[in-house]
Amino acid sequence: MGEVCVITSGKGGVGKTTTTANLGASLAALGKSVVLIDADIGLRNLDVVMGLENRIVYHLVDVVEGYCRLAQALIKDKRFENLCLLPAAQTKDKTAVSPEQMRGLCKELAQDFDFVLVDSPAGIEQGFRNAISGANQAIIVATPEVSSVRDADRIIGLLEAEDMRPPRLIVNRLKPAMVKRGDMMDIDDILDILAVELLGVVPDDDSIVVSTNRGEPAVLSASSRAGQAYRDIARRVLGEEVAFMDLDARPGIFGRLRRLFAAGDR
Amino acid sequence: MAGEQWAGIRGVSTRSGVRLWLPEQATFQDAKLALAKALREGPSIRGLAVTLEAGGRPLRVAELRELELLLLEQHGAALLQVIEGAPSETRAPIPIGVIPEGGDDAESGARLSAASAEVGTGARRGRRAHPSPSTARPALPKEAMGLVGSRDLPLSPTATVLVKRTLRSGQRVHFAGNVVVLGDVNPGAEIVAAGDIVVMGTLRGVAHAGATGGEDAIVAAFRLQPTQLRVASYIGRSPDGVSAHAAVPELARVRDGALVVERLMP
Repeated sequence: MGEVCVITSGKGGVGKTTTTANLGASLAALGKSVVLIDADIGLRNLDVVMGLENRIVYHLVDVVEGYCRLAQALIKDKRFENLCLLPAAQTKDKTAVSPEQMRGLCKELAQDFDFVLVDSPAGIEQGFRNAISGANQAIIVATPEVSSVRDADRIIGLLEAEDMRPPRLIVNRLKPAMVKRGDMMDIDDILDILAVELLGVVPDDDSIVVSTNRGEPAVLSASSRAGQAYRDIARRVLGEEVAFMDLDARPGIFGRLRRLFAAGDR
Repeated sequence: MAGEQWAGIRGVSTRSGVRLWLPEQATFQDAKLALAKALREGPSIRGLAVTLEAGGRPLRVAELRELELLLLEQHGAALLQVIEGAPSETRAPIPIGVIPEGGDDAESGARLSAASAEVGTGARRGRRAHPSPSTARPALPKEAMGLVGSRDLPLSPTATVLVKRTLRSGQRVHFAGNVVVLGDVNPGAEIVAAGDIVVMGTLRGVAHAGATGGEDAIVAAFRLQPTQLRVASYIGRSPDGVSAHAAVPELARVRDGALVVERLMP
């Protein structure tokens, strides 16, 4: 039986879909068989971020309504043999699926895959209920903003009532320079309130916007800092001990100039 | 329906579960043994929420935990609340619970936790035969959703509930007595108590002590950083802008017609 992991946040726009795509691609690159489920019915995005939009024939609602077999709706990724996507329907809404149906679907997929990653919609209503219903673990995505942390806290409270292991946290879009100036919540502030295990910190990285628009997960680019963070997270998900990357490692333009001068003085 | 159904000890069925009187033996262990014997010989209480009348015997945290485990592991029942102080036979059960926002929707996640932060009930959703102590929490009975201070609920100033967990955003505790929280109260969480409120952690949410008009009620916390504080009809809030909070335990009370915060001097 594989793991069924829901990626959720409460608040919208914090990077659930990006996290799902990158974590899925990293796990696949590490040799695991992975299926991504887009549970955001009516507002599907995961297929776009994965660059698989033009291959969709059947979707999640077709499967639960019996229009097609599950295997027919699964789209194989372009890059990894062992990575699949079950896309959401765009023309339906959240009520098209029930938590029981999602539970059955996840159970069936967990037979064949090592990891089932469920990309949850924002909010705490039925879409969220559907997304978490089949999961046995949860990853919370939060950005270092008070509103995002507040919503994450709410979600963690709701997940306490579910039959799953304690949720783990990914802090997304951290800007080390702003934290240093005291203009952004730092990791300790966030963990102080949420009191959950930290799975990783993803630095704010412009390359994510580029990779998202291109439909290429950032983990495929060796130079992307965010991609590196996601690769580390995937290894932690597999139980490896991976040191947290030093977010100050890359100096700004002035730091680089200073280093250059320092080298010249020697 | 009152009755001697629980061989040797007092017990009655209530709408929300069952109410048991802890036998008045000399030592806690004797009382626990008598309770265990009565539960073995009496009718099954599997899946029920138990209200325990402890009488004049103050229970220690470890003892409470023992009773919780006895009820949960041997009888599949959840300890809903413990009432200390002189028990009155006619008194209605005092409502208590952790209630999510829009609390009348039991299915969407109304969950209870009280003295029994870690207990579960096999009856939850009726799909699991055995409760899992680590994650499951019983649903809150509908009749326990009311606000404190309704006329048919006589107040017992000695009744105290122990909430052994952190209250997260969207969770509420309402209790017609004192409330002690072993954990934090996060922003967006709310405690309403007829008596005093003590938080053994950081209070960042909203606390309302003396909710039925008791102006001598207090709110105390290891770190008092509330969004808003209320005592009886007095309301106070943190100053706007960047607020520096004292790193010492503090206490809020009404003094000379104003809500004041002072250092907690033992």
